[in-house]
Amino acid sequence: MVSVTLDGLTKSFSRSGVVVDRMNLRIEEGEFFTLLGPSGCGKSTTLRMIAGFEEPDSGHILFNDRDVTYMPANRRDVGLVFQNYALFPHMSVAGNVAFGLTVRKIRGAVAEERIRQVLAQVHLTEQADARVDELSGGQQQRVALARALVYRPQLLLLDEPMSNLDAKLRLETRGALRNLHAETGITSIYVTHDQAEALAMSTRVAVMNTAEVHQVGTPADVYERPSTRFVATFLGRNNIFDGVVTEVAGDVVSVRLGDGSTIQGSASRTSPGLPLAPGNAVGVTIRAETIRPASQTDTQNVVSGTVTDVEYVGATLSCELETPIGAVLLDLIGAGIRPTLGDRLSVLLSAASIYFVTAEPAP
Amino acid sequence: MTTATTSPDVGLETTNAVYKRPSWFRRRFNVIATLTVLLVVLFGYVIGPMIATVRRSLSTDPIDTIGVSFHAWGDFFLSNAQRDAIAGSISLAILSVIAAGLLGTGVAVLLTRWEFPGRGFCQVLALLPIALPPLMGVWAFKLLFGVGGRIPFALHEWLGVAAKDLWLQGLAGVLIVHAMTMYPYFFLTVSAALMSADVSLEEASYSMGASRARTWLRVILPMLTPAVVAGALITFMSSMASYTAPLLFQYTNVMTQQIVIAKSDGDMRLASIIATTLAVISIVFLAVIRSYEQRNIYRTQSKGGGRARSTVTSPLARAVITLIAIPLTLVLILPIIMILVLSVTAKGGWLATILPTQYTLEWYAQMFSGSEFWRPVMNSLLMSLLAVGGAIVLGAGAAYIMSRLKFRGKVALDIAIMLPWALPGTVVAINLITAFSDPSPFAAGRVLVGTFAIVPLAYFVRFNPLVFRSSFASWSQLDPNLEDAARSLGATWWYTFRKVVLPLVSRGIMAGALLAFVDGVGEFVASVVLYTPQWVPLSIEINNQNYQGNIGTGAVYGMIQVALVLGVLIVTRRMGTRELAVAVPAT
Repeated sequence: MVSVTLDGLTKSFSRSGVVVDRMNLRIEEGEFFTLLGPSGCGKSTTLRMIAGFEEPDSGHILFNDRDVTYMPANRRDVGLVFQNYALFPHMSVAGNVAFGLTVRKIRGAVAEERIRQVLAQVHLTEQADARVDELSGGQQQRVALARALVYRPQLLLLDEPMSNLDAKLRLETRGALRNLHAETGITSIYVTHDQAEALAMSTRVAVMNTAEVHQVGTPADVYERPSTRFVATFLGRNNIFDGVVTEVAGDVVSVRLGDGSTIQGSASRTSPGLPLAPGNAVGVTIRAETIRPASQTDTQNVVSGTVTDVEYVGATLSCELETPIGAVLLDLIGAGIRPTLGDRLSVLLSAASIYFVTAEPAP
Repeated sequence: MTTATTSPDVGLETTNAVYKRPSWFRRRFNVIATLTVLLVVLFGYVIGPMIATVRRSLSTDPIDTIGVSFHAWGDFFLSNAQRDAIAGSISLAILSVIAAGLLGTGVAVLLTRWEFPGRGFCQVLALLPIALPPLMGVWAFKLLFGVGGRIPFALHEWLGVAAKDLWLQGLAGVLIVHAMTMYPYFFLTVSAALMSADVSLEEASYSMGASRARTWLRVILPMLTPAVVAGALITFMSSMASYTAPLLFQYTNVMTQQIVIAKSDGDMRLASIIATTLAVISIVFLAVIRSYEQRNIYRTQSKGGGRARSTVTSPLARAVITLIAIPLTLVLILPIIMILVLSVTAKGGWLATILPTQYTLEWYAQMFSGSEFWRPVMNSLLMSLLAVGGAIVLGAGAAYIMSRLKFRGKVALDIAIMLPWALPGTVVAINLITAFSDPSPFAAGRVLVGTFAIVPLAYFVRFNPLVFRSSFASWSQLDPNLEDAARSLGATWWYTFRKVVLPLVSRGIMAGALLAFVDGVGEFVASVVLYTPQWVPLSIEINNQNYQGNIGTGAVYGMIQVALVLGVLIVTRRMGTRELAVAVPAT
């Protein structure tokens, strides 16, 4: 197994400009590490540089202590799973899987045994002699995985491998991938724009936007303690209101919002390094699933508004309220109340759920 | 894979080699090397000869290249005969577009839109004229429709009209050849457009209350426009380049004829001037076609579900459509039938009758009579093989670079590669004569004109764009991720090329190469200007035999060509290449 260090990695293309900007990351041995971000944020380019298909303009890539920045792709000993799988259409399932072994001069009984094993691992024993275009999308994805794992590479790279699967299959595959990683312990780097996948599978996640890494941390870190405004809004369904700090009394922070009302939060729940002094502009965030209908006794942090949108999605009821502080998104889980369009509703933005991030940069 | 110790097929012998950032030159070496070869060949055999022709057109002397003067150009534009030839070529091209367009679009709509008995068979037959051998085909037209032709004779017998009045000569003769050989340009594109047209658009039109006529006018026909325009542009270019039909129907009022007449008169300067003018017109059309191709073509936006063909329910309408479609299709394949009949007609066995009176197999018996008969066939096979071999190396190689690499000047290179496709064969021949009638560094310091090499070189120049195009299509269809996948699995570039790339693209490349190959075997236009008596190409031999009255021999040669083309079409279909590439204008 191997650890991967990205040291000041920078890459620009003539058309799209800088796509990866001075990136520093260290992926530990055996980690399942995810690069998460919207499309065009540079995550796939980073992966292609690690795989050896793109040369960085500057910076270095290290596998353990070895500098592989300019090592040809075919010498890096990585396994790569492509978004479109890139299976060789003129070879059978077994032929595809055997490719990496043949190239490594592993053949005969040893190779057959390895192929048999890996196909069993991905539940494709029956399909060994099938043509790859006869397989379903999920099966093709597993062939791609088997092909990348069979020669036991020191590093597994996955480039949005599930984006072509339907929702149900994606859930199944998520679990299967997690198990496979637990079994093999192989250092894995996973690229996705799907936050659910990132949170569900990763040891750690790097959240990227426009060529920069915004935060690196465990799934809980990035979801619960976002370090930038982007991370706060990119993950989950979050509300964000801009305001100005009016008072800091011990742990209690008061913020005046746009409509003149005051909302209170906890000084311990802020992005690292955010200055919370009176007069400072801040962004007040609160996740949709933490908002509850207000009770009679609630006085502070209560907003009232009109229900402008209701979406029933099974497990939750997603509503949108039009309030004086702006639109408020909330997800009601078994709350017992079923608001309908036009209802008046008071909700509690609990101080314990409020999280402070940087204010919107001046335009 | 057997050279285990030295082969770099294994990417993973864990060495401690240190990989430094490759130098600017190392990183670009492959591109630079391949581009250099490509540019040298393009310059030496395509661009250079064009420049040579322009140079010669500016000579003060009609035969040798001396000094610079625009006098001859002035005379050219002032000459009534030459101005007439330019106008003649252009008006012929416009008429050809109209005639072939009406025929091709009509046949396409007839055979695609409605279901009737024998439709599938008609569709196959309607494509058969693609297999018409270029020179013998025009001869068949001449013997069918020309002076003393069988069709006027038959009409005379049946309807009592004077056969003489029905003989097609000059422009009319050329036009019928063009209509019946160029309609596939429309037939193929329009059929394809009709098949892939989104049926839901039509249904939307009806559901919004539009009448059938309105739907045709406002929805269906506009969707066909790109296909029709594409067909029209290619037909226009082919007609401008047409040489054989004007030759056999003795219509000299076109530029291609004037070039060869000037050349036979020994006035290479005038030949060069006309060739340059014709080249400029062709290049302008190439540019128009390119820019048109880059615009959007209406594609189906909905998933699944092919075109629902309307079944004609009314028995009357059904009978009418069948009665139009089947005879029309038969007329289209008449020239091929004519060649077949000629190949079994005894000498003097077809005089004042609609059908021959004496049949014979003696023409076919020549096939077994010795090597003399096969000589021109072998010559053409050899020359075409050499040309296509070169085109596979250069055209397919260029296609790989163009589809995979990014570099400045790519568009210019693409135009330079495709240029000869736009040039009439006559112009290519004149270019090669002006460039290689003196010792040239691109001919190892020798004179190529009058040697064996000049004809395969001309074929190479003409067919390289065809091989390039079909190869480019195959390369573009190849997912670049497959190469990356193989590399990341540990394969070297060469191993990837052999085991992944080649198996996937070779069929497409071979399909294009085979079509170019059969085109080369029947090539007449450049051959007639360039051939040497020691190496007579097939088409020249056919022409000679026909003029000597041995039309049966020409017809047998023609049938061999038909068999060759059909064989190649079947093979390329088998290879799974769906697109039926329409070859360069060969008439």
